[in-house]
Amino acid sequence: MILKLQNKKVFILLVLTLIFYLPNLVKGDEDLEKSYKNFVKETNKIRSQLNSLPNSTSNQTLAIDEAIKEMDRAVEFAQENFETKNFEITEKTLNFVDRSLTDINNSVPKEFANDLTGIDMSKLKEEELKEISQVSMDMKNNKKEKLTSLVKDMTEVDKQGLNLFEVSKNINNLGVKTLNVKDIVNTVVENPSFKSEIIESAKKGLSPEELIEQLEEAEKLGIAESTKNVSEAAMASGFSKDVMPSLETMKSDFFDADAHNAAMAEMAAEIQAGGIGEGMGAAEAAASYSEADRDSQKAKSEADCTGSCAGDTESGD
Amino acid sequence: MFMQKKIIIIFVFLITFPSILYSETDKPLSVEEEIKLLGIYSEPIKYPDGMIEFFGSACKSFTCRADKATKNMALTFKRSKLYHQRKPGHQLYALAMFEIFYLDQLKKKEKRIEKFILKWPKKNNHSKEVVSLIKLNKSKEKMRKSLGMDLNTSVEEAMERYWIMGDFLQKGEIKKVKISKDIKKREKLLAKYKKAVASFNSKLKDKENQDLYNKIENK
Repeated sequence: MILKLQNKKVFILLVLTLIFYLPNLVKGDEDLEKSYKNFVKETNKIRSQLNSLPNSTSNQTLAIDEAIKEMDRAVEFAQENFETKNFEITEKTLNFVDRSLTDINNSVPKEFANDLTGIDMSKLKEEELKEISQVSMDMKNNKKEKLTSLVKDMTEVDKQGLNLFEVSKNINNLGVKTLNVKDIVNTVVENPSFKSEIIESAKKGLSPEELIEQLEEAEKLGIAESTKNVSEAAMASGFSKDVMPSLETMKSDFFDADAHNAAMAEMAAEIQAGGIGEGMGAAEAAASYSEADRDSQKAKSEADCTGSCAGDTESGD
Repeated sequence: MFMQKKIIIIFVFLITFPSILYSETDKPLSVEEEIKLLGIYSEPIKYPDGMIEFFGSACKSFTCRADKATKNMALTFKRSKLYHQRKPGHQLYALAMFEIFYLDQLKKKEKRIEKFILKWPKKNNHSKEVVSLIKLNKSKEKMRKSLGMDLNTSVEEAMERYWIMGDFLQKGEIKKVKISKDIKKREKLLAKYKKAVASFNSKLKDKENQDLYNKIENK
């Protein structure tokens, strides 16, 4: 009798929990499901538009077409994983697709190019030079962090059945600059705890000989040492794409301003293509929200007040 | 019987804490912690020179400056991709303006946030304003991160950095390059493809944030 009652209690508890929590879960899943449907619809449409484009004889166009086709495998894999509710692998695969599409996009010539080679660096104020130098260093660190996370993602995705290292290699072979053996080796050397996992996955997709050769080279020098060597070589010439020259070098007669400006142009392209766009989209949404929704929100807030917030204004004064 | 009970308990636990179904490396912040991250309003002590020039001599109060900055920022964000290729620094100026826009929003909603904190978690008065500010703050964080800054960077420093980078990009010479129709078509489709992927991926990543917003709004 007691057992039966306890059973009933547990059952009631279960039903109540379901009543209270299920609507929230269903709402969240519904939103995601809707986004997924839009994503599938949109990507299918784009892919069919790309396939229906007239064939071009230009090598550059052919390379872009082939590189985009390489993405199809990864997008399909992401979709399969979403459908089996493996959201983690879906996200990791899409991180790779996003990065690869950025790289393909960067290889496409732009209608307007910002030529920074004419800038007279000596006319910049010391503060400006310092700031630009700092931004460059910070962006480089950001890039490194993103790369490490991407290589780890690719390793995880490989365990689930798709070797993204191979996809990367194919894109590189088409002449589109994307994640390469050197990037992977640098990540491995700087994250020794993931070394075996990454190497195992990367070996399947890349040339094992090249990977091992690069790895041995990096390990022989030690990453700190090799970075130091790169820095020293760069400082000697007054310039490096990855290592910003010091303020003193920038001001010296030996400083190669043209080369420096070329690097800055690359950085500018990165600003255009990188994370800023993502944040801007969110900011744009937030800004438009304030225009359209503020009134209705204010009206609702006032209605909710029921006299207790008399005297409140939008500013809360 | 014991087994049955155990299964029910696990089931109830998973429904109550759905976030553990996803393996997240970062522990999500509590509502109180998120609100703390919004910061406290204080008028900037210093603005970039170019920004002061943009405001003009007649616009000295924070209200006037915030109004002007918001309008300019909204306009810049709406501009086409081609416009941004021609005026590469303007996006960065708009990001500096965004810092003021955020501060202005914080100023306007400060008292409501205080009221929200006082009554939370019993009540969720002004929840929509709180969620809107949290979303804005997350956007601000993303934008700052792309130039190596974070939420600890002061408003003055962030504005200065955006402005200097904007000025630098504006100093370049814009050259028109002849692009074939084939390339233009592909560029457009590529941009669409990237947008579709990024948008869905950010929905996936935002799942945790969405749970937080639902928690605040559906209290």
